[in-house]
Amino acid sequence: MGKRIISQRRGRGTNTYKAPSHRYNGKVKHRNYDTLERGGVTRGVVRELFNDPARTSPVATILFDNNEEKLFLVPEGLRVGSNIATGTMAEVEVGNTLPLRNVPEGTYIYNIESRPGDGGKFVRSSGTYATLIAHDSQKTVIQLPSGVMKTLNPECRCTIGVVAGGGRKEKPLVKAGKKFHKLRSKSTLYPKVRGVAMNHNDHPFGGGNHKHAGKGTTSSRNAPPGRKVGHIAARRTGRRR
Amino acid sequence: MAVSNKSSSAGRFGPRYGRRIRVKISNIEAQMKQKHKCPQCGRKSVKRINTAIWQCTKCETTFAGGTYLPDTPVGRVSQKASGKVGSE
Repeated sequence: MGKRIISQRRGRGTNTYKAPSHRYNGKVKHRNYDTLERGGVTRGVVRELFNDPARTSPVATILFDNNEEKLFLVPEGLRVGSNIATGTMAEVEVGNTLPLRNVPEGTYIYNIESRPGDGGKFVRSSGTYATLIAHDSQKTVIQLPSGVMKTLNPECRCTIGVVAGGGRKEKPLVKAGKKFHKLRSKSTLYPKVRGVAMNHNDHPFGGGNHKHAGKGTTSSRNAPPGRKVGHIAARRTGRRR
Repeated sequence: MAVSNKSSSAGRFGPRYGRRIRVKISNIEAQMKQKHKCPQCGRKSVKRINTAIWQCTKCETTFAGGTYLPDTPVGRVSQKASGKVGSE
């Protein structure tokens, strides 16, 4: 009888593999998609800047004119005490949030919504930005940090600027222990043991003389848990020719 | 080991982890600990208080910047292109 593989054990949802969300500051989203957001503008003041263990960039608390307090994903250069605006009528300035249709082409944007009103999904990690490429009557094209062109609804909101905390990857971690502690705070499994290095009862690729998988490394999308290892539902394998 | 490495912040690693990594670390940490120019008052007194959070010790302006430096090349471009960052 073999053991359950790690992905099966993770699925139980016990503390070992759970994200430490009790340490998080809360959800960082755009303002609620109300009539004020769709037809006017809400202004607010940056109250405080602080580190958020849930993400790679700092966050700010914004106090809006209507006494609403919200967490805000910070652009580079934003100061405590400065004013920002959100809504259709907001100006195109770093830190302001407005629909894509009001943003000029070539502008750097971040925290972009996938569907109008969802609060922001794309381009949220530190130092990243997307570029607005073109406007059409029914759609807007943006270029994501990966280089992929994405077509979105022009009513989707975005914030102007570049996410703060750029250059995070320039400093090497140096030691494996540092990476371990970094990933532990995000409940990511590290170090990761290869299946080939395991014993027969731990993994489908385990055991045998000389390290080798011993069977095909592609597995079906519908394979049962415990067999679903290797290249899952691979479209192609091997060297690209 | 080179003499310059001994006195820099990467000296804590001794001779380990390779020269290139140690030089990178000491460069980044030396720049990070320098006093930088304040975007508000212009004095050289900006210090890092947390990841990507910087503060001027004279005028107490707190602002978001890069992780190890008060600004990044891309951030500077975006601020120049899209006007001021809020208003005081």
